[in-house]
Amino acid sequence: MIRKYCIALALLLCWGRNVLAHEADAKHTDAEQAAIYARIPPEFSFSVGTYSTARTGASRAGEYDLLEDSPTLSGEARIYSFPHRLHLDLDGKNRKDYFGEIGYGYRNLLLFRGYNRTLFHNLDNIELIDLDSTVSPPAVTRNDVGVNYGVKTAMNDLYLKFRAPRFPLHLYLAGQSFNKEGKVQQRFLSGSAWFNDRERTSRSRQIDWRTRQYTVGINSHLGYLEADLSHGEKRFDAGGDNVLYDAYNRAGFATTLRSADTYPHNRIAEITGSSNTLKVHTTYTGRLVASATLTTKEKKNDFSGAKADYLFGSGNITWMPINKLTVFLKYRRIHRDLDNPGSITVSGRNGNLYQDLTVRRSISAVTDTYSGGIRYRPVADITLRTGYTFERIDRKDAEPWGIVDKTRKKTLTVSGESRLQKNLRFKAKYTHRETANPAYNTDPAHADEGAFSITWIPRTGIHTLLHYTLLREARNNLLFFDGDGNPIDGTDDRKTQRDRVLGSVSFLLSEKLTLTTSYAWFRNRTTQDIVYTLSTTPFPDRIDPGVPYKDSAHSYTLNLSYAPRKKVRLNTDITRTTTRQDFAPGSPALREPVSIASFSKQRIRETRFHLGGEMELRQGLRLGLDFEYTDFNDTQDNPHDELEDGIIRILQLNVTKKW
Amino acid sequence: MGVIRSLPFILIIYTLLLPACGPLKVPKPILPIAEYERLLAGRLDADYVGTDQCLSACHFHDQIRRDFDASTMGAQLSEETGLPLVNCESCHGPGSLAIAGLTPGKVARDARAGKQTPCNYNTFIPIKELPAQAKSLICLKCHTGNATFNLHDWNVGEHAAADVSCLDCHNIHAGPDLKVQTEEIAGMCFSCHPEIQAEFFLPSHHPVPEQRVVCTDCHQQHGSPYGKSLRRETVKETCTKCHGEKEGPFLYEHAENTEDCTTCHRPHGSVNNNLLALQMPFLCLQCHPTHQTQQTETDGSVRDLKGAIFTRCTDCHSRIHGTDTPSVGGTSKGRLTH
Repeated sequence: MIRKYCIALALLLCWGRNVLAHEADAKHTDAEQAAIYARIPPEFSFSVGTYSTARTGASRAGEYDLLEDSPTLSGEARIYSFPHRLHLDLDGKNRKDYFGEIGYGYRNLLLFRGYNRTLFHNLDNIELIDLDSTVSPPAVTRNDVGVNYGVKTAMNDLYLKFRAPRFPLHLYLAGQSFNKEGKVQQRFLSGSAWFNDRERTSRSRQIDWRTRQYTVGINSHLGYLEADLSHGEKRFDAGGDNVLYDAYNRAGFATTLRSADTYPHNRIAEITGSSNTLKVHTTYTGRLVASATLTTKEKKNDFSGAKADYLFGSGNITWMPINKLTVFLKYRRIHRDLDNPGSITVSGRNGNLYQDLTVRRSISAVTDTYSGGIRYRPVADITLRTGYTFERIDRKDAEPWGIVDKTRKKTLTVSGESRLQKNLRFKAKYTHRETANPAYNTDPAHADEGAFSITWIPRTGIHTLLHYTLLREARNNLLFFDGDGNPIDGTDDRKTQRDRVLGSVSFLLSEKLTLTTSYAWFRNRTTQDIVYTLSTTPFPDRIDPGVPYKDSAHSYTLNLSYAPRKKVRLNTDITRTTTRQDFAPGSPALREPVSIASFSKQRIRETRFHLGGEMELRQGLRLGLDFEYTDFNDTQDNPHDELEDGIIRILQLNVTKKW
Repeated sequence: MGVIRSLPFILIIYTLLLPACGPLKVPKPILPIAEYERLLAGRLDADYVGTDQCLSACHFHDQIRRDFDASTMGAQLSEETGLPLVNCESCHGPGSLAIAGLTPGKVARDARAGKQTPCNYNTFIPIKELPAQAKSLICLKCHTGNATFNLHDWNVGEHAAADVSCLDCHNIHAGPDLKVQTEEIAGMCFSCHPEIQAEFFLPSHHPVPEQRVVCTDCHQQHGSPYGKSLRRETVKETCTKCHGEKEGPFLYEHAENTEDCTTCHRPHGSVNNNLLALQMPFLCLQCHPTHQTQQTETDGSVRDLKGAIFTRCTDCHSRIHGTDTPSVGGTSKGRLTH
């Protein structure tokens, strides 16, 4: 740490000397300053108003809104008193939802920017359900009935830059912090967790999580070459209930016996890390441009001692041999080296130890990615692109996890775009990927993706868009592992398909009125085997082949912008989204007496309406209106799922004065 | 690795040597670009006439002048500020042909008549007609040494490859601050990526439409060497910027799955809660067998266990992103239950 302070001090001293020297050279009288810098009157605005909410049912409809009434306060100031420049911006809806920004510049020698965004996230209180009460266990214990959950999240960014006068050198300090504070639901397994004494439990936990990251860096350009060197420190601190304690019964096999006691669980560990980054690149003013980045990161789990070392490297060359042709060459390397202590001991509050438990080594890997591509523009309105990527993944310590240690991926991409006519533009892209030895069932062996979009302006004032994407993936040789680590081969191929459609039409009905309608359709379909076991002795693993899963969504949007008078603006949006998701196991063992898909069957209809308006009055006065209505409707009313109906209404009114 | 660890010492040496770099302390263009600009203007006889011929004459009273005066570049219009000199011709090219034939008297007469004296705009660099890469070059010839260094990978980024130029997002004459304001970002991105905007209509989504999170929190619009134009090296590095509690490393990892959050989550929006790619338990059953659905008792009878296990997997496997506590079931196989 002392070394880092020395570096920062040396850099600041160097910058300070340069600034003082510059000040001595550039002293001017007030009159001269006035001649050099233009006089610009400052701008101020100030706004007050109200934020009113009404809620019926669950808060999900207003997921990112604090649902309580509040006065609002906003203001903005832009002051150009050269060589100083100051910008302040504040927008406060309520005590947990506000935005603030401050910017200050002194000549081009110092630049400071700070942001704060704070929001409130309403979280679900999911009701644990005993799907088959005729059978015991499980027991279900809800210790949080009626508790409202939510987290206030504050995101802060700070950026401070010094520039050396008359020399292309910058020192900078960047800081980020993310603070989450509130109450969340914790669902976990208690009892003995053994089949005769299993208990699904929910309770609340207070959180106060803080992620902080600081980066100090220096950069300069030295002729044709530019370089940036930075060092970063990152820390995650877990406050609040960072570890939970609950009573557990005696559990397990005789060989791995754990005595009854009050044990810790669901611990949130503190993480520390640091990074060093070196970036270099050539200037952009030539036909040949090259850049490279090398980053090393170290992370450590302060509780368990688990460590992770990363190396990220990239090199890029862009070459334009002739004006119509550009060649791209890229190389990436990610080296991940994970290490853990290999064993752990857990202490109960009454002194019982659950000790020397062996821990599997985590998987380390090296991923090298080589890419090449060209962009060719034969004529002005046609652009063609093609690229090829080869990815090589070599894993270490993967075998105990039942994962292959080598995977190879090859990807070919072809795309093009053209202005077929003056009012018609067409874009298309096709990607094909082959994977040898995919590591996980979700990794496809073959994948094809095609997309196109057409923009058409049939006549002045009408703008249309059609976009479609289709992704198809397939693989065979699905592999599962049972509770004892024995491999189970799937029987059918896994197939997935994803469709995305977007259509949009905009009408410029008059100079005062614009109407935009759009429709989007999403569909995911996956078909694959499900593996299950009926009885304990022996383990006859069974396969339900080709189980189909499907989810889909339709979304309709209408937007109307209307400016009836020069100083009056109205804008309204209506969006209705309907979704449905389900999967259908074929085996009776997975369907009776209760289905494994029982709470996956969901249908949602969400309607959002927004009306915004603004009217300018005299002497810089402005009236603003903002109304939101959201209806989140669980149309399936499946008693097993976590969805609940809710309607929220939020009205904001404000008066703004501008000077 | 030794080289990397010694980087701080290199930094100190670099800093201490800096005052000795006197001869370099002269602002100058990286490459001679005047000839290049003349070529773009199409007339080698065009010459540079200085800002006074532009802003102090025809554009003296208009908004362009006021916006520029309020910006860093505006301050750079005056040589006495000591800043690197930037003026109208730095972007628009030599202006001598544009003002040929204009006299101070005519400008003054027009001003008295309340009208702006038009110059011959056709003799400037035809910026609007240039290909995207050439438009960006107008900015990059100075901003390549940007202090934030966010243009480090501009040339290999998705935007540069897709013929997007700086001017598509930054309206140079729109106001004193060329920086895109936070509340403008999503709309600007969605104007070219409407199919991504549609994903935010889904019931579970990051609060981008609500303007609490912006696209550039995750994506580096100025070019990134990493996939999907991510601001950080990997998906995990990007997500754990905000979700630090899931970063790890942990004693018990979820194999490699937490290295790529998109294995289970759709970052923009999803029909499923918590941005899940598929609904549980099918999501988990893609890789894992379900638990045994029955148990044989000591008396030989078979007991049904479906009520216990047919539920959300994360009701019991509550540390699915990794944990430091072994499972409660009497084994230490990393079940991610606690």
